[in-house]
Amino acid sequence: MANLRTWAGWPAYAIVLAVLPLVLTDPHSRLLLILITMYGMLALSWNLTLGFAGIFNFAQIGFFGIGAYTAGILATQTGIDPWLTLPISAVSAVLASLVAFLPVLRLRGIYVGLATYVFSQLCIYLVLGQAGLTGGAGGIVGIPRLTLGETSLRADGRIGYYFLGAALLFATTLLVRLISRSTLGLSLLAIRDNEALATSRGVSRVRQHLIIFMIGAALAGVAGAFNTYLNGVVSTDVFGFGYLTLLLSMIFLGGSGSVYGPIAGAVVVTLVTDALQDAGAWRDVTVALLILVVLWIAPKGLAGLARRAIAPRVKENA
Amino acid sequence: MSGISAILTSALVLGGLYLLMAAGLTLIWSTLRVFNFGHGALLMFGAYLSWTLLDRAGLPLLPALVGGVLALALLGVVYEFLLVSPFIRRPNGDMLVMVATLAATMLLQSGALLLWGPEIKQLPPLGSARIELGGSVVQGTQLVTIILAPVLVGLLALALKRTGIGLTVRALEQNREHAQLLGISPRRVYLFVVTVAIALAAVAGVLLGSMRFISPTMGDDPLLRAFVVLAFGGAGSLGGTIAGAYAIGLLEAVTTYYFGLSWSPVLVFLAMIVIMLARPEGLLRSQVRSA
Repeated sequence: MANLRTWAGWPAYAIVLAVLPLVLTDPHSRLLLILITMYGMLALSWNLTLGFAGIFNFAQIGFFGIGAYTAGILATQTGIDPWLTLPISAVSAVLASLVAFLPVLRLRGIYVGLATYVFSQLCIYLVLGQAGLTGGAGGIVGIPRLTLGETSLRADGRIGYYFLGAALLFATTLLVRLISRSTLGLSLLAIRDNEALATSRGVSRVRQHLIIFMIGAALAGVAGAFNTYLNGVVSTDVFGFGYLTLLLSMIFLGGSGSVYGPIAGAVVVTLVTDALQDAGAWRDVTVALLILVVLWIAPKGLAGLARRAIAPRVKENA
Repeated sequence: MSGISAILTSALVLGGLYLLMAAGLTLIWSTLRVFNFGHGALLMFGAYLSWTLLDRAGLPLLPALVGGVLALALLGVVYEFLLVSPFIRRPNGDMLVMVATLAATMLLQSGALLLWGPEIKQLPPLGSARIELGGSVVQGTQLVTIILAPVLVGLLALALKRTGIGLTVRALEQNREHAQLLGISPRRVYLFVVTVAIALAAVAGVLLGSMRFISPTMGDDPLLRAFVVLAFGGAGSLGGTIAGAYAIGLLEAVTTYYFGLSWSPVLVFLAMIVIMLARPEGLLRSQVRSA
């Protein structure tokens, strides 16, 4: 019975995702929905390392950018089927994550933050340095669109991109939920909360952290390729400060360490930034203040607030 | 010959700038055990404040620059109250401070854009003194940087060694519980440390704003280099930071001279990653400790 209740939410989640674009049909709302699915997927994948494992991983934005550039380069310079570039982008992001993981081997806490942040910045310099392949500061333009048979995913207000994004978001959510209850997820929490005890019980920190790093990178790589096809262009913006702060605000607004919090964060932050589209620099001021206010009054984010609202009832039951 | 002296000059200038940045970060790290991601944005704000005092309020050069640094130090007090002290005692406090200071970077950068607009600004050269060294000329702001940076950080080191507040800072660094038993209040020390560190960043901002340009993102590159310095010298030791800053300045000057501007940062960051892997506690840490 408990099992049934636990899993009953999933069909409802799928139905909501499927019905939303039928209700919101104008192109602008559709685009917002697509962005929410992509940001949701990215925020979920980043939260695996940042929230569950407690690793100061700032390389996630690098994995996203590497996925985006892999898809862009392959789609424009080789004759490969664009669909194939989605899994290939995941692979190249995973390979990059092996490099970014090197500092995690021996460093802890804040030093990992420094090294992984530098990794993301290094990606920008490498992209600019390899202008023949990456287009340098101009980026890559004219990327072919994804098509299904004869239909472009752009047709009918980008409905195809929405369903692709929604499917990816649904799969990512399911994966994160499964990981959070698996031995892997539990051992990550154990390492985060008491490393000495966890290691003495036979949990290998390096092994578990490497696995979660690679899973997170693969998801970010796919999201990067999705972003490339959605926009039709790639530039070094994908490694930039804009995405970094946007995603961090989603994770911390929604609640780091919670399974569904980052999705709620993605919805709220995407809608807020869209509402302030024409406000220029005021938009960034608002998002920054939003992050700070959440950190001040609700360090566990929306997920923490929701849990607090439900908590009295749980206590009565117990 | 002129190549070598050009490299040396540029190494001393860059090293001085990175030293001003990294010394503040090290000081904050060793006492508060948190990392200030907003240091680069604060550097930028200091440069803008000085520019405003000079260009808009019409103050003479020196009072304007000093005023800008002092104004930013005042902002540092607010910064500590709003971004550091609310989080530092919470579980997972170091990550919260890091995210809060990242948000502060965003706030300061977009705030600067709103206050001062997108046009690039510049501070005038500081002084007209010039020295000829083996065929290359050092003048104005470069000369000031070469001299001022080590003097200021030397004064800081001296203050940490000799003054009462310096003693309490070092006591907190070494053993927080014991220091509190002796009646040292961490809050006052934190405030002092953050203010001093931010004032040093403002000095770097003024120097950079006079050598290059003032823009909302001018602090990003110096902050990244300061990361590398911390990795190189071992965060938390002022001696290591001094050596690290000049070593990175030299490395950058040499690689820029021989490989060009676009490859230099890549090589510097690669050096950092290699050092972090080989000696996570910093390349110079043990020597500094034993000395």
